[in-house]
Amino acid sequence: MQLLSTLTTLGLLTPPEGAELVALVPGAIVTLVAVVFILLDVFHNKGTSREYQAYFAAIGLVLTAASCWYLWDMGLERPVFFGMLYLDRYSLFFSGLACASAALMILASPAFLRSHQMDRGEYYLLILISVAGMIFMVQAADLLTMFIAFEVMSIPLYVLASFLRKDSRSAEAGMKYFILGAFSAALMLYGIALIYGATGTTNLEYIRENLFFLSAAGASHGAFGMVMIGVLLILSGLAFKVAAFPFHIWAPDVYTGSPTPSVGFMATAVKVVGFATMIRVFSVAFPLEVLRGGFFGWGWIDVAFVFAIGSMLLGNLVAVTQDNVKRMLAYYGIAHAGYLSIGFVAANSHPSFFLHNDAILYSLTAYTVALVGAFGVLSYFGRRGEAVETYADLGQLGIKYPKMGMIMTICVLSLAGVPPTGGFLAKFYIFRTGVDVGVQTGEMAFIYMVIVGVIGSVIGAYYYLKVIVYMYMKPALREVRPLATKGKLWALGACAAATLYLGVFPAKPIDVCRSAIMSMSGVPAEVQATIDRGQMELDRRLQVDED
Amino acid sequence: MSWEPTLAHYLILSAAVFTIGMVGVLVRRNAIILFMSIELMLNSVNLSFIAFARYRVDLDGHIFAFFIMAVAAAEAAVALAIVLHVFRHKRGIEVDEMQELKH
Repeated sequence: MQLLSTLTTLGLLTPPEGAELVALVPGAIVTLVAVVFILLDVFHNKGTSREYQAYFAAIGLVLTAASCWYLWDMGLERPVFFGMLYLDRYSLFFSGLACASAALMILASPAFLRSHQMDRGEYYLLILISVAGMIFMVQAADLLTMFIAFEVMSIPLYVLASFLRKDSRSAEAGMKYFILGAFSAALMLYGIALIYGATGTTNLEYIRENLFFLSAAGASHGAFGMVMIGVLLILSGLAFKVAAFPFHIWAPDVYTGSPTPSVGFMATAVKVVGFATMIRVFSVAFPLEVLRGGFFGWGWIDVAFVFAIGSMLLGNLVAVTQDNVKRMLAYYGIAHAGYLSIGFVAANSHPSFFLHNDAILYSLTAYTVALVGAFGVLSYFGRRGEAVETYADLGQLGIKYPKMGMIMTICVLSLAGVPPTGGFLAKFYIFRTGVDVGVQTGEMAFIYMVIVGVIGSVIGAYYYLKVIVYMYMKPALREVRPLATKGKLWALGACAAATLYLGVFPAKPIDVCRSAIMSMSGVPAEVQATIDRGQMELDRRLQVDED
Repeated sequence: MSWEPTLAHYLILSAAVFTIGMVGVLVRRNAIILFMSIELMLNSVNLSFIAFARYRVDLDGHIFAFFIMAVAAAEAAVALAIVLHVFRHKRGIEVDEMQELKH
């Protein structure tokens, strides 16, 4: 007691204020659900179905998403816990999206796991823990929190990839994911160490301040070289997670070998969180005006530009040659990382374009619901412990199972970018961002990037329409059985409905994305000025509407 | 003549160990050796964190090193489980024999 009060008077042990604890709410809820889940699993009657566990986990995730919605207007100006976590609409938006993806994929899982004789409670637990990591990752205000959350997110995913114990392909997938994942995490860590060495801090905002200070004081080339290498290493660590060229090699193998429903989670939530962290870290901590010219005169933006072009070309071209749908979706995931990088490069090339980041948020939302739907439909069918994964397996499914055919068609059209769906608008929005920035800066590189993107999505239409052709027009080669549960039907229906909603009534979702991006705290003054201008315009528009 | 190692010495050592680890991951084929090389990379990062922290008389780097150790332990647990899982199926842990997923 004596010691406690001494520490308190010394200011070493200040109890956090109530307002600070609010920042923990979404992460705490999902962690609590995970802990209760362990207890639930202990009292499970052997030999009975575990479907109720899926519903429990999904309800927990829905509660977490609801808490994000509840906290929407309660964002905090400053990072809490000595500059460790932010709580703003930006982080709440991405937490909610990660929860939605996890909940939908969990609902799609039980029958699939049963047919592979791996109906284990750990599966849901791993997803819950991974979501907890994701929530803290998008809230991170310090490279330390970011790194820990990054690992809390990744380690369960390695286990999920190798979850099918009876399947040697799943073992191989887990191995590949682990080796390459740990390798990229080590690269990122070395980057963090170099930046810590050059700036003396790991806090995002202090890093920025110290970088300005270093450049004003005329720091040596050595210090800036260190920072540049560090920035590039962090970029590659995150590029690995979102499967962007040239860090994409793991994706096709891992997506093919892992259990289908968990791939749906890996492919969407991880990409969402990876891009969210990328935007946050790079726009808060690494101002281009200081860092361009440190190293060959190339800023990180040029490297991201190369990633974007490479991902779009490679992803789309190789996807055409695949005959496995899961592998095709993996290559599309790579291409999509490229499309998103167009937005990332364009919107972050200058502080005055910062608000264009909303295209990335919208695109991630549309991509998440459509891809979750597509993987859900794939995991809906099975054949004596084998998954349905090749194009040929899809033969006639659309006619025999009209509901599934409908949902798959909607999701696939959205991924291909066909008009009445969210995917069309997402692509349009991203490409418009690139053109907009290109026209305003007169820099042709942005326009070229968009041209590559448009050509890529034309190629993309080929392999997506092929899915529909097989589902409706090709003969069935082998008999498949549906692996249906009620929850799965609802989840898949929700994906299709959300995809259509995003395409037909986009105004509201776009406003949500915009207000999420405008709320990002800790941004530099120039970015804040852009945000304030955007806010004023928005207010004026609303005023006009009222009049 | 007394000689004191400076920050640069620690950084060079750390970069060397990191490179050895990286080359190990890229060149070796045994899964356990790959895992060892990754541990080498993580520990070289620890070394540079500690060196920077001592140089700057700042605690953040020390704390970061502790967290890296904790994460490395968690990764080790998962890695060995996955290696066992692979061994059960393939009776070997050479990574260049993992070709099943390539078409």
